[in-house]
Amino acid sequence: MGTVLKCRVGAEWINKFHNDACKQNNLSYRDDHAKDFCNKMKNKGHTKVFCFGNDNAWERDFRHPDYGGNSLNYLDNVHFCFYSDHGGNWGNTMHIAFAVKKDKCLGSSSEWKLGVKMLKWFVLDCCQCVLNVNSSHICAVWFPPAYGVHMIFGFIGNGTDGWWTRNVGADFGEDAAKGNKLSNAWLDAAYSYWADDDAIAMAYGATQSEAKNRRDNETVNYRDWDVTSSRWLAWKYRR
Amino acid sequence: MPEIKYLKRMTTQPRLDTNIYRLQIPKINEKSIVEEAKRLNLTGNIKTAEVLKNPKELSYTEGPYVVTLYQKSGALRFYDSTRWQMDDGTSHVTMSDDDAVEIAEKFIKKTQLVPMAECKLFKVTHLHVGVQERDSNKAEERIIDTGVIFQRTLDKTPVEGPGGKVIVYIDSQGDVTGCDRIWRDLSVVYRKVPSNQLRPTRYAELNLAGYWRRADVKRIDVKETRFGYFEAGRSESQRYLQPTFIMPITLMSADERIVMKSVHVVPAAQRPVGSIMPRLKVVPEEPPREE
Repeated sequence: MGTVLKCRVGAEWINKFHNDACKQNNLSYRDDHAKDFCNKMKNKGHTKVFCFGNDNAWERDFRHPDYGGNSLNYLDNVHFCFYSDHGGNWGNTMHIAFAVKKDKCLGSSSEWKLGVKMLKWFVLDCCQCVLNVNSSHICAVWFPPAYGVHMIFGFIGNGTDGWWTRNVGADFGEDAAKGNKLSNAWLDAAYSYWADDDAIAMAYGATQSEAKNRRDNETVNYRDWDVTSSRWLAWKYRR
Repeated sequence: MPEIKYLKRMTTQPRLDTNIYRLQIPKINEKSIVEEAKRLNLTGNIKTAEVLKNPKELSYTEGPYVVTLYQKSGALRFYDSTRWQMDDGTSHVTMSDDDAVEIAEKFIKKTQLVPMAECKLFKVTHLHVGVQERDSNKAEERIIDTGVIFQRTLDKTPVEGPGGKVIVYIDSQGDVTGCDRIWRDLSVVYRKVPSNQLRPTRYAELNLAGYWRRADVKRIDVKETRFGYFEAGRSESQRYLQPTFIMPITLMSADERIVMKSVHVVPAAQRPVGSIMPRLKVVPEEPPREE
C-alpha cells in the first residue's frame, strides 16, 4: 500500500436516552462502533477532530446554517463523519435521533447539505439509510442532500445493535485508514448474513463513469478529487 | 418492564441429544497458513509470497491471491484481489442459485475446506450494483457475484451465530473468486447434554425478559426462537461450543418508526459453560460539551 492521504475524522454516537420528549430505546454498542472507528483512523495518522457521545451529540451539528444549524463547524468540517445511533426513514427523508434537544430530537436530511464545505464520506451506522432497494427510493432519499459529498454508507432496512456486530466501526476504520477501497470495506464490515444486516455503499459523480468509479474504487486518497456535480448516484449492496 | 410480543413461539421442547464441546485453541503460524495456501491450490512457497503478521491476523499474498487466518478464531479468508467483489462494468450473473450451489459444493469438496457432510445450505446472497442519473427514472442494475453460504451442523443440530459458516463467492463466469470459513476445530466433548437435560424454552423467555428489563426498552418483538449451537464471529475467541436458544428480536421505541434489531442468545443446557450474552454495558458519563 502506497502513501495514504490523511483525513479529518469526526463521530457522534448515542447509547443512552432520557425519559423526555427525545426518548428512544437505549442502545449498547454505538460507542464501540464510533470510538473504534475514530481510533483506528487516528492510529494510522488521521486526525480525530471530535467524537461526541450521548448528551454531547447534537442535531444542530448536522444541520446546515441555511436551516439554522452548525454543520459547517462539525459534520462538514471533517472529511469522514461516522454517526452511530437510531435512524429512521420516512417520506423519502432520512432521520437520525438525538438524546438531547439541541436544537431538535430528530435530525432530518431535508436540512442537510452534505459536502458543501469539507465532508467526503458519511457513515450512517443506524437503521434505514434506505428502506428498500428500489432505485427510485434510493435516489429520492439521497440526491436532495448531496452537495459535494463523495459517498454515503448505511443499511437497507434495520441494523443490529449486538456484541456480534460490535466490530463494525473497528473493521471499517482499519480498512479505510489503510487506503482500502471504501465500498468493499463497508460491505465487508457491515453486512451480516446471520443478523440479516444488509449494507449499502453509494457514490456520487458528475458523470455515470465517475459515480461508478468512485463506487468501485474510491479510497481516502480520492479526498481532493471533488464531486463537482451530484448528478449521478451509483450504489452497491449485498443481500 | 418492556412489553414482549412473541411473533412466533417455540411450542415444542427440542428433542436432540447434544454436547458441550471444548474447542481447540487456533494455532496460527507460517506452517498453518502455508498448508491453507496449498489447500487452495497456491504454491505455498513463502520465499516468493509475502507473509504479514499483526495481532489480529496472519496473511499470505501470492500474486493476486490473499489468504488470511484470524488469530482469535482460526477463521480463514481467501480471495483474488483482482476479482472478488469487483465490477468489470458489464458482468451480470445469469446462473441459477442451484448452479451456484453446485459450484460451491465442488469447491468445498476439492479444497476440503470443511467436511461437506456437515454442511447445510443456509443462504444464497448476491452482490448488486446500480447507477442512476438525477433526472432520470431508470436505473442500470446488475448482479456481479453470488455468495453461497453453508451452515455447519453437529449432532443433527445447526450451528447458529456468525460462526459455523462457510461462504463461497462465485462470479458471473462461474469462477470462485474467494471464500470465508469460520469453523472452529473441536477438541473434546466436555459434557454430554441429553435432551432431557435441556432447559425448558420458557427459561429462555424469562431470561430475555430479565436481561432487557434493565435496558429500558419500550417493547420487544421476538421474531422466533430457534435451537442450535452458537459459534461466534471471526474476531472473537471462543473456548466452548454449547447448545443455545436463539431469539432474533426487534427493539421498538415509543416512536415506532425508530427501531433496532438484536439477537438474544441463551445457553440451553441445564449446566452450561458461562453465559453468551454479555452484561449490559455501563458507559461512563462524558464531561459536558461546551455550547
